[in-house]
Amino acid sequence: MGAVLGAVVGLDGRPHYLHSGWFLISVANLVVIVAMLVVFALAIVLPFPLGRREQ
Amino acid sequence: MTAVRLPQHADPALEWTGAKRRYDLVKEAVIALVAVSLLTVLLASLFSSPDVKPITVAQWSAAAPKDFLATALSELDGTSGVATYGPPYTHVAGAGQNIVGGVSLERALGVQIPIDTAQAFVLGPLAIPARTSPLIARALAIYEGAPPARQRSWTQAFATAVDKGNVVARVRAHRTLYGPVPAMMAELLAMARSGALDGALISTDRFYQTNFTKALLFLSDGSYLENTAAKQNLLGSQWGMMNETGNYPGQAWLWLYTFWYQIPPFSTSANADAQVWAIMGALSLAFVCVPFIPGVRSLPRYVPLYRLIWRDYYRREASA
Amino acid sequence: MSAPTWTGRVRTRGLAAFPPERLLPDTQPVYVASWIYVFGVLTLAAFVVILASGGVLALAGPAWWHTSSVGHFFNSIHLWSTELFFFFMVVHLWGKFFMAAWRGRRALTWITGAVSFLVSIATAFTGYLTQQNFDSQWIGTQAKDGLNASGIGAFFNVLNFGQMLMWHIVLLPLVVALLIGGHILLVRRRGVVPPL
Repeated sequence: MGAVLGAVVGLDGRPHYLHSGWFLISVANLVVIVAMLVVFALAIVLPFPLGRREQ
Repeated sequence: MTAVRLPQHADPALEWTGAKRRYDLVKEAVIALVAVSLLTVLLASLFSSPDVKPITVAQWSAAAPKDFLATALSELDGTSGVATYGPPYTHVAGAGQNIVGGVSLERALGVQIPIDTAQAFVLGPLAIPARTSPLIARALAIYEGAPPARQRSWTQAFATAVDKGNVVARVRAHRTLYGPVPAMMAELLAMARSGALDGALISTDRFYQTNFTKALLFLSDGSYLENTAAKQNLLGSQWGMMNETGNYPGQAWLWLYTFWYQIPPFSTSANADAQVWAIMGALSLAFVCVPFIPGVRSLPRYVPLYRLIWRDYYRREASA
Repeated sequence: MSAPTWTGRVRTRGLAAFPPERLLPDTQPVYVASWIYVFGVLTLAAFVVILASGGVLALAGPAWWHTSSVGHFFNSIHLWSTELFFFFMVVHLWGKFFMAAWRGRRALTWITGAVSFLVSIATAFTGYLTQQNFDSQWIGTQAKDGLNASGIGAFFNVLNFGQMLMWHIVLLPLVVALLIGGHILLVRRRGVVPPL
């Protein structure tokens, strides 16, 4: 079972980073942070299905 | 259909008496649990998790013997990072980081995890082969019987020899310069390469062990562990606190904790840890106390995000 | 009738604070109409998965996942549920900040949530320390300096595996669970904060 469920996407390889001056971030962390911002924006903007009303 | 009554600008402290809708709390919790479980299984199946093997002293001594010997010598003569660290490991007057001025919590709490580096990392482990090797037993006896100034001249001379290379030739040419130290270091290197030093550093006078302090401090005094980490962008100066080995996401939530180490004055300060932790302690306290901080607690009113969140409510309120 | 018992007093006060309809309501105010509201329960769900996967890892001990592919899979579940836990918690936190959710005597709700965040960081940190791999070695030898500088290192030794493991699987999860429990009860007590 473990062999079948081993990593499909290998994340153990050479690390990828974005570097500008003193700013350095891993691509993985950047993806996570951007995903959080996108999910937050979508959560606020997407319409919420409104159910039955009660007084 | 009866009209929906919506109270105008309800007092947030009062219980809501306005319109409600049907809501299934338990169903929502179950759906959330199933969804998160499935998402987790998917992520675990796709990406697995990192498990980079730990570094052993055996590996270190084989891959970087010069660095290993230089570290061992510094532990022996009390010039290593741990030996000069101060509290909580060693008694060193004035050592320990200051938060501001001369205020140091580190010094105030004192030495709680005492380490005698010469004994812990060199003399103690060497006592094991000394039991069966008269050569090592004699070398240890000579070393431990010599005055500190003589010991220091031997270790420093040998450290210079190791650094310059051609150690065997140098030792043969000027034996008296180095005393028993070459024999001790050769034995320690052999112990390290065989794996015996890994075992010796973990063992104590008790059978069961769960504390790896000595072994880890020894590794941290050398450069091999750090060089391995640098290749993975894990150093403090590389925003390392946030990062993970390979391309795995790390701890993005630590961004502000690690940020300070990247900018002056903290990036060059000897007291960076104490200063950054003091700043983050204060900011963490402020984060907890947001409801009581004027200005900060009013920020949401000036950012129109709430209008988006409650747009349905405001629309109905306006038409009511 | 004799003086009320402690049990009676606890029951009376408990029921007064949390009558069943408040503890397990099947209605909610109409203004609760945004996807941002699901991130609290998503965080809680992730916490349950963390505990469950941690429980499985505990079955065979801390070294299991290094030698078993099934063990490694459950370690991966434990890691990714933790990533999701923080992901959902941060989105939940952002939402609650911009809603100024501490209004109307809800300051303690904010406080328990914020402290949960900080204690969760400490819990995850001790988890990283007890992996028994290169990561643990590096994180431990680095973190010791910050902790020593603040004096905490004198009593909280990140290089002591036994100590860190017990903090990670006993002490800290208990504190996090109590904080989350208190946080949820406070939300039930005061209700969801109305609009600004």
